This record gives sequence, structure tokens and C-alpha cells, in this order.
Amino acid sequence: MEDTPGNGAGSMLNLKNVTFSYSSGSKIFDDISINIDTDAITAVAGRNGTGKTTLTRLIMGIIHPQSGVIEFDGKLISDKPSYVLAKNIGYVFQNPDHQLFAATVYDEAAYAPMQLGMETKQIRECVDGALAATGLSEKAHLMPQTLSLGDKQRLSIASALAAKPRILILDEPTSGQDCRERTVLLRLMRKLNSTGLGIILVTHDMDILAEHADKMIVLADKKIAYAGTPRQLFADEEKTVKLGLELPEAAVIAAEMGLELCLTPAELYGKMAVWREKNA
Amino acid sequence: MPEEKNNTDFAPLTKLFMAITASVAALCTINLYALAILAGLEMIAAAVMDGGRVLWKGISILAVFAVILAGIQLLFITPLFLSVGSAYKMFIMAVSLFILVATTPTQAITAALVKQCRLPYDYAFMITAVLRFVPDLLKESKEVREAQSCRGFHPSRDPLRRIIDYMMIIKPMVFKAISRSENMAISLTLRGFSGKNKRTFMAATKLCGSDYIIMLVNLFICIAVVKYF
Amino acid sequence: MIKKAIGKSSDLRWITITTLLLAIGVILRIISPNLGGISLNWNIVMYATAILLCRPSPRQGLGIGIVSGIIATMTSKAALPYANLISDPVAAFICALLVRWCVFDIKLGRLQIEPLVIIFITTFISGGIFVTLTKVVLSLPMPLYLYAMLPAVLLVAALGSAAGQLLYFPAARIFNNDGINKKAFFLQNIDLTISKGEFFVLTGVNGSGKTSLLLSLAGAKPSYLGGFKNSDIHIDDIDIVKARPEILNNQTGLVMADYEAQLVTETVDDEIAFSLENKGMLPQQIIEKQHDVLKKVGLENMGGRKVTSLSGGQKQRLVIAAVLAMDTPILALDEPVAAVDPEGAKEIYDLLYRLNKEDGKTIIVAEHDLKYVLDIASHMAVIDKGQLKFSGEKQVCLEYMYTNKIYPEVIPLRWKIRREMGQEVC
Repeated sequence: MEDTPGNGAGSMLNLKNVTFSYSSGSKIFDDISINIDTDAITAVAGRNGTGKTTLTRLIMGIIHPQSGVIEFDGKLISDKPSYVLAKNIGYVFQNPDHQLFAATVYDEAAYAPMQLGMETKQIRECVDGALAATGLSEKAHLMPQTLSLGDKQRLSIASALAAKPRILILDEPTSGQDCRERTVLLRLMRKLNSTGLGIILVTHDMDILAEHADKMIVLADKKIAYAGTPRQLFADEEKTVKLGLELPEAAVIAAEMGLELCLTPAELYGKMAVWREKNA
Repeated sequence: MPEEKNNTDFAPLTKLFMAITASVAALCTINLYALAILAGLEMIAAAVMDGGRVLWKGISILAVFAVILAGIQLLFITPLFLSVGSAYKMFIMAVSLFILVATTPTQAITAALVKQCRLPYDYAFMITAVLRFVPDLLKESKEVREAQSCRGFHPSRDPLRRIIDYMMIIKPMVFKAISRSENMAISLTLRGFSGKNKRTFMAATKLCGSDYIIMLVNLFICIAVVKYF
Repeated sequence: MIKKAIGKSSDLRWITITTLLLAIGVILRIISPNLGGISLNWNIVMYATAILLCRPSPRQGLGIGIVSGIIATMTSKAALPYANLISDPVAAFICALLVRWCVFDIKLGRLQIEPLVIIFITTFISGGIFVTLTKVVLSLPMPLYLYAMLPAVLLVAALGSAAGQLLYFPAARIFNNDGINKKAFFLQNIDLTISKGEFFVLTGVNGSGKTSLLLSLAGAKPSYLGGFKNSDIHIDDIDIVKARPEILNNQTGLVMADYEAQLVTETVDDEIAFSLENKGMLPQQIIEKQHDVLKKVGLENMGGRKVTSLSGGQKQRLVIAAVLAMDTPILALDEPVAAVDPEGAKEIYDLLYRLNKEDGKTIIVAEHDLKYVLDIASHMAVIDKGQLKFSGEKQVCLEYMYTNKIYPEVIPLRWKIRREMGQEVC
């Protein structure tokens, strides 16, 4: 958890002096620069309205910066539209119903590779791989709308994966899901990351963030207010609160019990055992 | 038309009546002078009702449209007075309706349709509800479009292909609407929509003296135009 | 359970489907691509699809046509807007007739072509009437009519019917819940008693029957629910299984997970007024109520705002306000914090806590995130595969879930730590 894991391939997503505002309103970002290590799981957090989704939409090319550039592996991408970037970056939206249209789960997943002009054989491989990775192989012939919400969310991940992207953006992937589906999804996210896929996770759930993110970016006041490991930030409670975030539940409980900082339930249980031995 | 009146003072039924009489009058005459006077009267009515910039913007679009219509007819070698006449007619009818829509809340129009024109409430409800969902669905259509473009969707240059591609946007929206319709139906039931009680209408639809005067004036103009031109 | 207790939501389905599809039709007319200036008349495709799905009576079909005509008249800037008032009702009426009589319920090979034919005919009738009226009224030249306008109508009808054919079958499967549940879903062994003034939390995985149960408490039965088996439910002395839906309606107000579907009017004030108008309450009383409930949920002075301009959280508050206006002693909410951030979640639960303590409302919440309710709830139940596993005091219920491994993932960390280390540690 401490530092960047991954295979050290070292591909990078760089935002340089990016400024952005929607045509209707005031600035969302004012001259922000950040390097995102695309081997890690990087979480994007911040109060509502600070531009978490705007940041990922900029990366995906849905919107484009007024000034500044975004580069991927040293190549300029901020002038390209999202349908071109889909080859390298997958984007999973909060609401899977916004994209499901095909007659079967298989066709749904096959759309992106078809659109990107892959050959039939390659499409088949990519789709089978994506469905297997997300545990949907058995449901390939079903109609997407008849799936459970958890399955739908994993299908939209599969349909992004089928294009063989190198980065996957997940926007509040656990919203509306029950605790069991949530666990499955987060496990899937880690598995995908361990195979070398970079993850950018937009979330307001600090428990998930603390347990799963290697790095985090916090947005506030049109700027990047924090970039670093979750542990470093959560160690400074005052700063965390100032940025509009709350501490993860494990950290709160640990503090109330007078223990050192804990980010995950497992860590908390570990520290508790030590504490109990000492007090016994 | 009395000067001190503004849009809140006319009942929706009065405005509806004005729109209909203006249109009937325009329909029944081919006299260019009469049509010009009708169009002029409508402009005065529009000024009095004070619909703001939206109203005038709409009227100017319709004016351009009328000129284009006349142009097309001239292209097909229609006599000049007929071309100008039908442009006038189109303008008068479209503007009469536009004034009504731009200066009256939909809730008030539907209340008038139910209480005074005997439209069953189910249908009146549908009209307001459709208009309530339009902005939300417009936003949703943008979201769907973005979601699809992130999977490589982009409109083709071939126009026919474009329409087929467009099913990518339409399908998710229709499917969602169908699932949502059940929740909406349940919610309506719970809120006493199909109850047997007599329904109250909050929107003001009552006619007062000035409404009757305006309606009479309109009727008079309409009859005069039909009879004498 | 027998048929009588069905809250007749299905009776209104033709209204809600037509409404939503017509709204989509309106925006598609604005944003969809066109073919050399001729845009598809999506309104017609949409109401014909709605008629094909719901198969309403010809009279209702006529009404749908009138609605579409009025909407088109109000939103389109065609040369002769009034023409829609005649063309759409006639076309929709004929469409409903054809669908009722199943005239075109035929197959071409394995392909059912009813939607194709019906939408083609409907669009052609509507478009034909429209251009003919325009031609006659504006005395347009005959060649323009014959060689430009009528062919355009044919083209539009052909495109519309193709689009409708593609849309209809998947839409019908969703409409009929095909493949979602092959067998009817039943709620079984629900032995539940909720007393006045409780703050009750219902939990269980997605698909376990939480929503069905909440809807049934409020007297509405979703189409996929078969009914109750071997169940005995009492809330505040009312027998839920036996009571008539109208009685349950007046007893429980419901805020759905998809709360946006509950908002049906243009402005905030109208939304509060809607249910009260349906009840026939006097205007003066309605105005007082509007003021009261908006203040309670923190939307005071927003009465004139358009519903569409509100944020997600504000919309949810508005639904709560509209439900409060109906003065039901019980308030039920389905996953109220699923789509809000932690700050918003705390605000919602603060509001519910106040309503429970100050106004004495009985609160029933279906929830996955027990972190927020752990210290608020008094009672709890867990449901699994349509069966109630346990119901009782919160502590006892959590203990039961913990020891019997019933949906243990949902148990808050804090509770588990307290259980292990003692209540006072955190």
C-alpha cells in the first residue's frame, strides 16, 4: 500500500497547466498539473462540485481543456475526441443503463472492438476475454436489461475492457450496489489492476478509497489540493476535514480507541490484537 | 385592447380563444389588407402580453420562415398575391399559438383544457408531464451520447447510416423510459391520481370582465374579416 | 394473495409510458440527425410504439393522439401547427384500432412485422393529413405537394417504421419483464410487526424483495410481484396483507429509489399541490401545506423553481416534501442515500431523525449502508430471497445476522468492534 506497486512499465498520464471552464459558468480548473502513474489505482476525491468527473471527462476527451495539454506516454491526447481515445482509455459510467442497447450481453461487449475496426477473430478473443474476466461468460446470451444491477455494472466494465484499453476510468462504480456486489466489483478492480491495467477511480466513499487506492488526488478550489498516498493524507485529520473529506471508518474508530492510524478493517483488527495483548 | 392589462390578467381560455379567432379569420380571407391588419393586431397583442425576449425571438424566427415559404411558392410560379397571402396566413396562425404558449404556464393551459374545454384530466396530465420530462431527458440524451462515444461511437458521414447509428442513443433512452414508467405509474397511484375525489385546480382559469370584453372584440374582428373580406 | 389487493399501477402504465416516450419524441425531433432537411417524425414513432406496447382502447388511442397533437402544436414551428391537432388524433385512433383488432399480427418467415406495418400506416396517415391540410389551407402549388411533400411523407414513414421495428421487440421484452423473472416472485414467511414511532431499517441484498415489500406496505404492487405467502404483517395495527390498497395509501407515504420518476409537474409548488389537488383539498389549505412542508425539508422560498433546475439531492427532498404533504403517519424510503455523497447522506438521515423524533412519524428505510443508521434505528429486519429472516430490535437483529452469517457484509465495522471490545470503546 505504501508506494507505487505495478510492474514498473512506467507509462504516464500527464496533465500540464490545464485550465477548463464550461461555456456557461466559471472556471472548474485553473492551471492544474499532475502526473498520474497508470500502473496504480489512483482515486479522485473531493467535495461535490469540485470537478471530479470533469477531470476524468477531460482525460477521456469528452471535453477539452481551454489551455494546457494532456499527454499519454508522451503523446498529446487532449486534442483527440473520446471515440479515438477509446482504444487506450475505457470509461465506465456511474449509471450502466446509459449505454446498454444491444440484444445480448455478447453483442454489447463486442460493440467497442467492432467500432475500433478489429478483425472478427480478434473481436471474438477480446470479448470472450472481457466476459471471462468479469464473470459474465455464462450470461453471454442474455439480454443486458434483464441483468441485475451488479451484473450490468460489470458488463459495462467488460464492454470497456473488450477494446483492450490501458487505463480504465471508474466513476462511482459502487453506487446503488449492495454490499455483496460491491465486494465482487472491488475484487475485480484489483484483479484487473494486477494484470497491468491502470485504474482511475472516482469515489466519495473513503472506506473504499483507503482500502483500495494506491494514490489519491483531491480536488478543491479549482486546484489539485492533494496528491499522494491516502495514508499520508488521512494521518492529517485537520487537512482531511478541510478538504471536505471524512476519515475512513476504520481510522475514526482507531482514533476513538486511542490506536494509531488504521486505514482498513484488517489493519484495525491487527492493531487491536496487539493492544489487547498489551493490556491483558 | 386595454393598456393596463398584462399577461397574468388574461385567463388562459381567453388567450386560447384569441388564438383560434385569429387563425379562423386568417383562414377565411385572402385579402392582403385584412391579413396585414390581423398580423398588426397580433403584434399589438404580443406587445401587451409581455412575453419577454423569448416571445419576440420566436416571432422573428416565424417571420423569416414565412418569407421562405413565400419564396418557395414563387419558385413554383405561384402568383405573387397568393404567395404573400399564404405567408401571412402561416405567420398569423403560428404566432397566435406561440403567444398563447409563451405567455401562459402549461399548468394553467391544461387546467383550462380540463375545466373549460372538457378534456379528460388523464390527457391534460400527460401534456404537463411530457413538458416536465423534456429537459431531463435532453440531459440524459447527452449523457448517453457521451457514454457511447467512450466506446467508439461517432456519427457517420453517410446520412442514412447516421440514422441507423442513432439507435445507439435512442435505445438506452427508450429502455430506461419503459422501466421508469412502472415506478411512475406506482407513484401516481400512491398520490391519488386515479382517485374518485373531485380534483382541485390551483391554476387560475377564472374568467373576469376584461376576459369577456376581449373575447367579444376578438369574435367581432373575426366575423368582420370573414364576412367582409 | 388474491387480486383485490393489487394497487392498480398497471392501469396507469399506458399513461406513463406514453408520457415518457412522447417526451423522448420531442427531444429526438430536435437533436436527431436529418436526411437532407427532412427529419423523422419521432413523435409518431413514439406514440405508435406506446400503443403497440400497452394496447389501449381506441378511445384512449384518440386521447394519446390529442396529447401528441397538442404537444406538437406547442413545440414545433411548422408552417401550419394546427394541422397536428387533426393529423395526430386521427392517426393514433386508427393505430389503436389496428392494434386492438390485431390486423397485422402476421409473420414474414420468422419475423413478426406488426410494428413495421402499424408504424408505417400511422406515420403515413398522420403525415398525409398534415401535408394535405397545409397544402389546402396555405393554397400551396400542386407540383410541390405531389413531387415534394407526399414523397417526403413516404420516406419519413419508411424510416419511422424501420426504426420502430428495431425498437419494439426489445422494448416489449422489457415491458413484459421477459427473462427477468420466469416465475412470479413471491414474498414468503413475512412475519413483521412495526409499531408507531419506530425507526425501522430493512436490509438484504439487491433482489431479495426489499422494494417489493416497501411497495406492498404502501398499497402498491409491482407487476413482477406474485403476492404474499404465509405472511402476517402489521404496521401500527393495520393488517397489510388484508387491508384495501386505498387504506394503505393513506397510511404510508413512499419515496422510491428512482425518485425522479415521482416528480411529474413543472414547478416545486405544483409538485406539492399535485397529490393534494387529486384529493380535492381546498386551494387555501394547499398553499399553507406547500409552505409547511417545503420549510420542513429545507426548500423554503423555492416554490416557484422549475423541478428540472433542482439538484439530485433537492429533488429527493422535494419528493419527501410531497409525501409529507399527504400527512401519512408512516414514511417509507427505498435506499435514500444510494446516489448521494456522505454529506448529503448525513443530511437526509438528520431530516429523517427529526421527522421521527419531533413529528412522531414512523420511518421505514430499506438500506445497504448501515453506517448512517446504526445509531438512529430502533428496529431492524433482514430479508433474503423473498423471505423474512429476522425482525426485531436492532441489536438483536445484527447479532442474529452476525452469528448466522445472513448478509454479514452489511454489518457496520463499528458494531463488530463494539461487540468484540465492549460498547463503550467507540
